[in-house]
Amino acid sequence: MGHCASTTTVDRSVRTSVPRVALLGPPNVGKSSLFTALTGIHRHVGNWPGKTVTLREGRARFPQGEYLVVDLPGTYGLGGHSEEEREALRFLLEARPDVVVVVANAAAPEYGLYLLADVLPLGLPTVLALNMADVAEQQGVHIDLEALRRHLGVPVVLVSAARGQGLEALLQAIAHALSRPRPTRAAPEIPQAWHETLARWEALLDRCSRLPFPASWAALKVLEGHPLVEALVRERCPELAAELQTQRSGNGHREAFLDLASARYAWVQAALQVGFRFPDSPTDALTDRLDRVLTHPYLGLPLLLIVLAGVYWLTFRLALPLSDWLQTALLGGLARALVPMLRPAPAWFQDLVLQGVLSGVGLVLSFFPILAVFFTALAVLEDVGYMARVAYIMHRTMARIGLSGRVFLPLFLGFGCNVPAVLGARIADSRKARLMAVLLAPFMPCTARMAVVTFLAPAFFGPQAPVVVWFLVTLNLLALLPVGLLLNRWLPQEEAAAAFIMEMPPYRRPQPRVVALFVWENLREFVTKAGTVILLVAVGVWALSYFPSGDVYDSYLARLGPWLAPLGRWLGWSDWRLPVALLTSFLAKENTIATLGVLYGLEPGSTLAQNVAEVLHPAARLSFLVVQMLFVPCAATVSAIRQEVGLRWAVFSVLLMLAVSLLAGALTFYGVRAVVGG
Amino acid sequence: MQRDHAPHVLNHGNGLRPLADLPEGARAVVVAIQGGKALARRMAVFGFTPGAQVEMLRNVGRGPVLVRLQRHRLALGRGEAEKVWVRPIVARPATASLPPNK
Repeated sequence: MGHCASTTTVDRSVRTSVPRVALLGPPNVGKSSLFTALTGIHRHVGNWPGKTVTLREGRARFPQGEYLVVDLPGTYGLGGHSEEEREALRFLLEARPDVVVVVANAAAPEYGLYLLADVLPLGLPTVLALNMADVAEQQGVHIDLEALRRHLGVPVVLVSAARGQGLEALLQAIAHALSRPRPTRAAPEIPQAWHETLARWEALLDRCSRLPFPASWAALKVLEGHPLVEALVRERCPELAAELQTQRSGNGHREAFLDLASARYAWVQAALQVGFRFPDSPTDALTDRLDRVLTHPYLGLPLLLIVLAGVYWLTFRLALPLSDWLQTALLGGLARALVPMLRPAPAWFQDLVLQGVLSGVGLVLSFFPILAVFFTALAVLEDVGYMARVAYIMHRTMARIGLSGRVFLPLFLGFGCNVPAVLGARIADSRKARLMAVLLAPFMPCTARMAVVTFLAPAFFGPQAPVVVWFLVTLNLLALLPVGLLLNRWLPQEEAAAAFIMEMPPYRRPQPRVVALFVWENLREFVTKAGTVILLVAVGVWALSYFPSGDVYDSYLARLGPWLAPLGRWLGWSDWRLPVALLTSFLAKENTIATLGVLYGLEPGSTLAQNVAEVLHPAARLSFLVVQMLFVPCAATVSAIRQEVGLRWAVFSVLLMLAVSLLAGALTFYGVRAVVGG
Repeated sequence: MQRDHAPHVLNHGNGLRPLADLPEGARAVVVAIQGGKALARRMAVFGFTPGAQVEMLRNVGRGPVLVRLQRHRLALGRGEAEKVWVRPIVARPATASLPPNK
């Protein structure tokens, strides 16, 4: 990673000799699909200039040469209103790609053309790729490429990334754009009313020679009131800052932006007139029919719950056996192979490798199949178009706590693992919404916690176990509401409240390549972010359970027991080993089981869960599961929170979850005991 | 509902209404976007500019609405839909069925 980190400026001398092609497009136009069609799945993530931006990049090799393709985040415009827009724009401005390929949906090209209208004034060599040509043809859309080319002044190609058609033509168009430094025709006409103001801005900005973009474009963006461009101007030419400030006061940014947006859409309409002939009525009958059921005011939510239950079922059905096999067969084999090699080493080192390191590796491995299946299911739902409907269905509930339905999507990821949920919170529109999503993510019952509960519940509650598990999941989801309400009230209000506008893409068949890309990226994220933390903490927990004497009952971990015992007693747990096991779940949630296994030891004739159940009152069993489900986020999640919103909030999250889990545990214990007696 | 900086023309009197009041299946033309700068901008980028045609796909009187704008389906929060002022397009059936004069 990071070999391109030096290309922070426009300086051409440090560039690689391979031309860089940026893929830019709105969401739902098959941009990921086009990216994988051009580069294959074998690609890496480059760290480009900017804060925490990681963009996909890959090499497109073909007989005539090679391109470095960079996939920019899906965005509707370059207005800098969302994180995606800012990331895409920052790349275009600071890394200056050699060619920009604007991707549009051939069957519904409006948003792609609007983006093209916003990009053209930048003066970068540009190509328009009309993707999903097969869908357009199916729907009876006629496209006159030649007329479009003449009208727009940029190369226009029809591609179907899903079928691998038109890629040759796209590569040729890129080569053609490379040979010509600028688009031949400029972008939409500026409304007359703004000419004078615009000329004034341009004259001012012309004096700044260190701008990495044309002054005419900068003037346009300053007129619109673009925060990122203004900041860049101030940064590069501080001497203009004062004048910028005086001139901009009294400038009707809102009106200017709306006028320019209208002008762009008028331009889009003109292009549609010239190059497209659409059938008279919308022909996507399948989407209309499916939406009538899936977004139904009463059926929508129950169907969503069924889909979610299905995803869980599939995950545990397919992944748990594989997970067990990896832990026993693979790790067991590894341990047996290591024993003779370790014989000359001191005893503590043998124990470190066999217990500490291997158990850490085992944990990471055991997560792998579970997350792979879960992410595959989610990727299919996303690529099919269902996830956008999930946001729509959940919007009313989310709006109660001041968030938009869109923010539910990263939380949905949290059902698999809280780490990607925390990272996914970046899609939130405002800082406050993002922070709230990050703090709410640990409430999502991740697969690791579900694994613990499904392991213990049958021994704890016999035939009632499924009801108990259902109750626990519901409790976690219900906890989102009061906590969300409090956070919403307590965190400072923001001016830009969460606006909910979201495109509902047409339903379509999932594409294996796009699904594979999603799964691969999330798993990679898990291994690099969560995997390393889990491994480190595993060794730490091992050290606590080994030293000073090598006997677990005399270890530092066991010595924590008496300290934690009063807390446990308050929750009805008569045994010090339970709070200790809970504490080690900080490493990774399913460590609860592993620690219980070590502390209770294995007795012939009864299972671990039965041993634990024996020492607990039924009310205490339930309170233990409740606390386990709501307990502090695991180490990997905490480290993700710290990375995303800072250490202060990571500590806050731990304290929040601690308070909520203990409170819920105590309420459960005393409540249930009052009902059943004892 | 009426905001200080909102244009005075935005009221029900002259045939205008918020998008949120448009029944399912009805079509309308966008007249103006009320509300703050950030919202107006986001709406404009999605194509809610004066003159744009919208069709209401789902509106159950509460919660978000689904609309068709050009060839795109969009979900819109209720609050946002209340700030988009539209002029409904009155469908004129081919067989004019005006009530007979009394």
